[in-house]
Amino acid sequence: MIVVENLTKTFHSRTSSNRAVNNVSFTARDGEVFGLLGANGAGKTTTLLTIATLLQPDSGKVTVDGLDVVTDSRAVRNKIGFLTGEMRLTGQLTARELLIYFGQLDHMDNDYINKRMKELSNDLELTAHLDVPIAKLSSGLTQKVSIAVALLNEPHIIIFDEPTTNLDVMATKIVSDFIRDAKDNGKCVLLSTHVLSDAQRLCDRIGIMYEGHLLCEGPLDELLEQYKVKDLEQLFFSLVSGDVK
Amino acid sequence: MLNDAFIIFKKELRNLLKDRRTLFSTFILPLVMLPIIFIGMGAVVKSIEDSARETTYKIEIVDNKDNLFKESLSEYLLWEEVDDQVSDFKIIFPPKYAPGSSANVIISYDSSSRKNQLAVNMVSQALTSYELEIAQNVLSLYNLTYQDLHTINIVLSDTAQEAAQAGGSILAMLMPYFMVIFLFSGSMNAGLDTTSGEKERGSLAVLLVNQVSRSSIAWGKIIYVSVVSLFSAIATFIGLLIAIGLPGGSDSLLAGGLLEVGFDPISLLIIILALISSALVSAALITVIGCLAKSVKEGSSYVMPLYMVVVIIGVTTMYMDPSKNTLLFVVPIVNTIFVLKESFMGMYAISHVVLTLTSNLILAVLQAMAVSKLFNSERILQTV
Repeated sequence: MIVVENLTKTFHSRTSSNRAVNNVSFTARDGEVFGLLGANGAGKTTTLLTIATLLQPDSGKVTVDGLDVVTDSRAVRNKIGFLTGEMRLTGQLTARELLIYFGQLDHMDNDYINKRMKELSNDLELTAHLDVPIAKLSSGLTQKVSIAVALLNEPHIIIFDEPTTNLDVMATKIVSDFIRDAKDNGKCVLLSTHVLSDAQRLCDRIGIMYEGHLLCEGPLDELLEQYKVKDLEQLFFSLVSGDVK
Repeated sequence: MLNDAFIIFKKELRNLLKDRRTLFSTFILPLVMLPIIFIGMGAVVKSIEDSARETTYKIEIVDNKDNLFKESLSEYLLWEEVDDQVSDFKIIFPPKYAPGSSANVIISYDSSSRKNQLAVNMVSQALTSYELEIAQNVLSLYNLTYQDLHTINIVLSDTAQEAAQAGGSILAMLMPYFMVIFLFSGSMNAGLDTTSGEKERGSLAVLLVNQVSRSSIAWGKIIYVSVVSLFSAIATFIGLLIAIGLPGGSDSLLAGGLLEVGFDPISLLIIILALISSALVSAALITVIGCLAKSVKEGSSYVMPLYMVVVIIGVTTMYMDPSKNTLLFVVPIVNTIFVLKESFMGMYAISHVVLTLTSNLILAVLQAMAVSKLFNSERILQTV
């Protein structure tokens, strides 16, 4: 379970400051998909990077399965699988070599790496492509390898930042199917997206972010009823335009 | 920490060795570039020389009908006498010139042609030979020969060590320049790709959420970039040895005898240590820049001015003797060039070597700490 309490994060440059996340709180539970929605620059990625221990909060508290992301960062990293849509695996290494590389860096022994590689390649239908250089794989297969890398350590918490960005229809389906499977297996999945249809299809609960603020949070049905709108798109635009409060 | 750094180093190196294009630009290009340049330039020079020898030049001789001069000219080049404006050369003697009298002889020619430049040398030699013949004829009237006037014979005795003579000094001039250039340029591609390139591809974030320490990541990448730049420099060295060993390779461009220059084991060891330490400095510097840059493009814009500085240092030190100024041996790149020069000439000073290695290693460690700090900071993830 991920618990975010009053998270605030500001980026400073020489000439200006940008409060990317402003007093954001939400909880993503086990066995559910929590979707963070928002336009580019809303603060979704900053929130996810903070949970993944890559950024430090200015104030507030973030815990992953009860572990503080600042003080227990190494233990937190052991529990999470992190995948960003910006990630473009490339190069001449094969999927097998890449999985072994990340496994060794995670201090796994070779038997465990081989066991996980077998499980993941079966689940993601990668077996036939394990020994092909990444540069020669299609975008869908490359995304499958990225997912395998993120899940090699059998994480309980899965964090996906814009996982369907730049993907074609087939590759998008692969990611969607995987997210559903992870949820069914009791994992806690935190997903950020600006694609409203993805959120509507995949998420059990959603939070809508705008200019660093979390405007609302809860199950989609309850939110539609609460704000008296018919669908997610209407809810989103009503909230960001300030038509509903 | 070293174990994790080695895993990262191995992965980066394996990726590079499988990438034919990068392999070509990093190792094969430095290996074949110098032989190609030497062979190409040698062939061009030889072709011009052959052409200059085989051409029949149109020469107008003004105010000298002496057959002795014409015979002398024929000994040096093919020529035909012309009287009009179509001549390649005009050899103008003073009006009323008489053989044996003192005279300014003007050779009028077009210097824009390399062939003409070579031919004018042959004409000059013919004039010198003609002058000698005239002098010989005059002296014979007094039962003397030209040798009777030649009383001093100059003999040069080179006191430099054997390795520093001719071939050694040419190697000492060229090699440090080429090796340092390729050392730095070898770091550039690999260093930026493994840092800002990973940022751009979004794979750095995945690496950072792993269990591996940031110091291990820093050292793994620095060692990888160092090895790449070192091999790039060694490929250049082998390339030059191939170039000067090829038939016509060095003869047309450099003094002969370069291959006879041998290295004693200590000089060779010093060369290798100096290159390793300098590779670490270059690699760490490029890695720092790669970490600070938000993209490969931005990184390249920071690195290019530094590359120009390295080229300028290489060019300005090319004709300099190994320095006695100890302070220069704490300045990176400059110290490596001078230690390489000393080693190629077989006149290394241990104090210079120690100063160079210590200075380079301290700088490399400081830069590695900076890289490690950058990997620990949030700045490492900035791509916009």
